[in-house]
Amino acid sequence: MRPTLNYFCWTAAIAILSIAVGYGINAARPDSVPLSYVSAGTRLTEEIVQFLAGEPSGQPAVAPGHITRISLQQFDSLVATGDVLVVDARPDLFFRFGHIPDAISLPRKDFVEHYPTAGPRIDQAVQAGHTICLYCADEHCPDAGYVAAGLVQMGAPIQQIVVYENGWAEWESEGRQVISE
Amino acid sequence: MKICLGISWLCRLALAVVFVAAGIFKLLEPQDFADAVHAFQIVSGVPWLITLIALALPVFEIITGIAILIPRWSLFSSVNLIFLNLGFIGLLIATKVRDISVSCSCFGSFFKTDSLDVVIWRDVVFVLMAGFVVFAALRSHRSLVG
Repeated sequence: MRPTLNYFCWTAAIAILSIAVGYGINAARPDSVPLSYVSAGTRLTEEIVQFLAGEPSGQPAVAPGHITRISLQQFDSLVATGDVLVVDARPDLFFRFGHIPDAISLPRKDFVEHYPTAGPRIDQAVQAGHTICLYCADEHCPDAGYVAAGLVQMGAPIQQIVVYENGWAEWESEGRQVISE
Repeated sequence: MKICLGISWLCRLALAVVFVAAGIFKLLEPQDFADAVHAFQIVSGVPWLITLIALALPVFEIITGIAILIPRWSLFSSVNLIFLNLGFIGLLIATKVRDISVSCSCFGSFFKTDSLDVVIWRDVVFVLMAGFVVFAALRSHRSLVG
């Protein structure tokens, strides 16, 4: 009985220590996590609302699930027409290590910081009637959907936005051309 | 007996490296890990619990990973790793059954994600390794007592 009790006391002590150290580290971080979790989509929506404060072009956010998803074959057909702007929604570091040719970077994590650079090219493509095709790490990655929803919120028409569903993982595994910065 | 203790030591070292690394990578990007916890849709209705798991689990992994190397604490740490990995396996199976699209974020957001099947089998290997450490520790204790 005693070893079992010792085990539970030891585990409880480690758990309490982990909570204390985890919250302590978080409190000391400049980019600390809020004590009550806010989803990535909500965070992005709130950032865009702040970014657009006072500007009339803002639209209500759409759910990432409402954005059209396309396969690699459809992506190839789209690129062949030339009427597409490819947008990489992965973190900037990953973009610099390698990305799809002609893609521009608009990471979900730093959307507002990157939008002044990427935004004019996206606006230009939208006005020319081109499709904006976003991708991120793989089919499990939600970032392309969030950025797509963010672009709709910024004023881009949802009909002109698609997400290349399998993203970077498929592109790389297919041995396609990769551009590094 | 010596071979058994040697293998046990290697298992402890491997588990320590894996869990300390996993904890550090998660700790570097806590917001990404909180997003990953949320994506599993197990505690998504309890925002404070998502934060608690995202902040405490990486530290728990690091402490347990270090403790397994210390002979006095290796038995309890191994038992904890068995329960932790069984929990992960249960979570991953539930995710597969519910057909939820997630990446495991086992090592934070820095590495390419493996399929859930690969992650489940990897966790089974960790359970077996930790189980062997427990077996070796109890056997060694018995031989000392008896």
